[in-house]
Amino acid sequence: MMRYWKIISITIISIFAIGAFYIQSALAEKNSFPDYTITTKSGDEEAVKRLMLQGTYYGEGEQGQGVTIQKNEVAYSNNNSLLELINPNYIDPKIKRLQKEYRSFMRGKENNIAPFYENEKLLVYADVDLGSMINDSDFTFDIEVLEKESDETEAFELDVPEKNKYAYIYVEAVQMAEGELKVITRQSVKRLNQNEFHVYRFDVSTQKLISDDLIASYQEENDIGWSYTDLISSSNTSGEENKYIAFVKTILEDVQGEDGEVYSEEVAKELVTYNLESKQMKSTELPDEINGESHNAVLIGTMIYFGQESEAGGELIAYNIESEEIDSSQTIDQLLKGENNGLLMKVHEGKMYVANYFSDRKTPGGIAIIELDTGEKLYEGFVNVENPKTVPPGYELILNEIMVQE
Amino acid sequence: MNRFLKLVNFELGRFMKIYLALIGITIISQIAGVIIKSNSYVERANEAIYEDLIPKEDFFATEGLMSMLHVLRSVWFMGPIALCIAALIFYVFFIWYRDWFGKNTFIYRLLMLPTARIQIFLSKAVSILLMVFGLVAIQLILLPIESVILKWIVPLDYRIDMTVGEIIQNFRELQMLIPSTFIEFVLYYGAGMMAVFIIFTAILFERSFRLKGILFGAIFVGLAVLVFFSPILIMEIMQTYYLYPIEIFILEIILGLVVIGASIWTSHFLLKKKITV
Repeated sequence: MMRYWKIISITIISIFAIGAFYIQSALAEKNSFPDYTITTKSGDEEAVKRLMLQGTYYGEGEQGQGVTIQKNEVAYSNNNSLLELINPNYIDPKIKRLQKEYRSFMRGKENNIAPFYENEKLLVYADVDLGSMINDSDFTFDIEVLEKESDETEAFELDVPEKNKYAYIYVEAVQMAEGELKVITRQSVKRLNQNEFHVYRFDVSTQKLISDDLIASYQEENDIGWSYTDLISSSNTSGEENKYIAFVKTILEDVQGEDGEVYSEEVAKELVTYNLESKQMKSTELPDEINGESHNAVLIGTMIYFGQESEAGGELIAYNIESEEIDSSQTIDQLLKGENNGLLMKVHEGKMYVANYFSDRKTPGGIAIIELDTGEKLYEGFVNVENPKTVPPGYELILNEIMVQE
Repeated sequence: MNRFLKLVNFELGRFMKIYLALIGITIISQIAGVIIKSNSYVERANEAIYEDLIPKEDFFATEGLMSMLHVLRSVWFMGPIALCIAALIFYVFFIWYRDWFGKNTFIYRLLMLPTARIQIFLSKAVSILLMVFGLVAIQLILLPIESVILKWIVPLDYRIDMTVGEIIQNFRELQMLIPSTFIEFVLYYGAGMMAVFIIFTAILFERSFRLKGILFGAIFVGLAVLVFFSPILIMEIMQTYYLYPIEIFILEIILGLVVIGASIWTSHFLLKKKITV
């Protein structure tokens, strides 16, 4: 036996040390980073059951660690992990659900929700293919329609009109009603400093492009300044088609400062709406109460909901496109106000989810859920650390996305 | 089986002196690193706080608290790891060539053994694997010891204590050697073993056909790499990502096993029919 001491000792040491390490790390996994909980201040806990907050946790002197916080579960991600690559946390829950339910239809499609449209009967995918490496502006529409009940897929490809004109084309939204598919795109024109929004309409049954309408250019320069236009994302909860597309146009003017330097100053924000039925465009100045931050706004039916920071913390303003008036406003006063404590928002199934970006020991981040129709506050709460004593005093939690599980 | 273990033990024995020296260098260098880094930190902290009268908070804000991470970033720590990696990569080649070019052409005796010749091949591979695991194990044993030494030198309010798991999680280079889950450990070192098998086969090509064999060996390595990465290559070239990540993952495991199988089979053939002394 002693003749084999080399092989025996190396094997025993390896098994002992490596085995102990992995057994211990499996047991101790939960303790190395803090447990976060969502504590309810008011409202129904059911409302936050499917809420997923994604962010980064910074311990003292440690590098940031990705974290997903749910009501009953905290999962820390490991950026260098192979398994994380296979099943990433950051994929949109809607994409995850679609991949689960329509596995073969979703095959080969990117994890981007914008080119998908779903209602009770159909699942539609309409994206613009960027073309091959050889011809970089060989843009084609790649359209697939899945009829859920019969599990039949209709697929076709069409060239983008004037495709050589564009440097890139990005699909912003897809809608479908009565056999007519509408693809709303944002694209930039080659060699010109010009960007456009288009609506392309398709007849799915004949597989033809019906029309290509330019609805807005989103960066324009003139003698006194320039402007840019952002699309307000739309959400269709009822499966009905939205009648409008809406943009916020920010107008800036060149101003000469005291030191002689020229800088741009924001002078106005306009709301630009496009009626998909009548193809009419309308521009109106936004009321002063609305700051017009398009990334925190959402269009549902004829209402645009602007989530914004306010004196009290946060507020939600509902604006009616047709009457051009503020319909209601709702303050979200429990959300904390601080210097770097902006708000993160997400609309899902008619509810607005709001959370503070930032939490630390002194200021736990707030969460609120508001029913958009009624403006009723369904839920208020906080993101709290459990056992604060075990957590390094200088820790920070910075959220970057709200997701709602499907 | 007994014969095989004897062969492995024998292969380990032939590298044991250098192997133990590598372990010795690692232990001495890393522990010296902890002592030196800890002392210099405490010295700097004391100088700043008691002589230059900088408030403690300001010093910690700019310098950060002392932790094992400061030690890990130094050449004292990473140096010996790099040395061990280089030595073992070198030994992947040397484990074969020493049999031909050492004193009294040892391969002659090995090939004459009444065991299947593939056992020679496998025993060399297992020896390499065991030596790699041994070094990983030594590192895992050293980390808690080093943490304790750091605690002895650095006062409580100057330092952050970290568990071995936390140390590894916060240091990328170490995480590649010691991944955080056991599944990944198996996968990483499985892939490493695949590489060792491929190189071994290439060496045997060279030993069988000499100059021409270098070309054959290179072709074999190229083919193995191509087969292993084919799903990813095809998808990148076609620009269609047809497979789900989980499917690619399973396919890669299967292809890895296929490559290992092909490598062992080819080596078996070369050792039996083509090898020259």
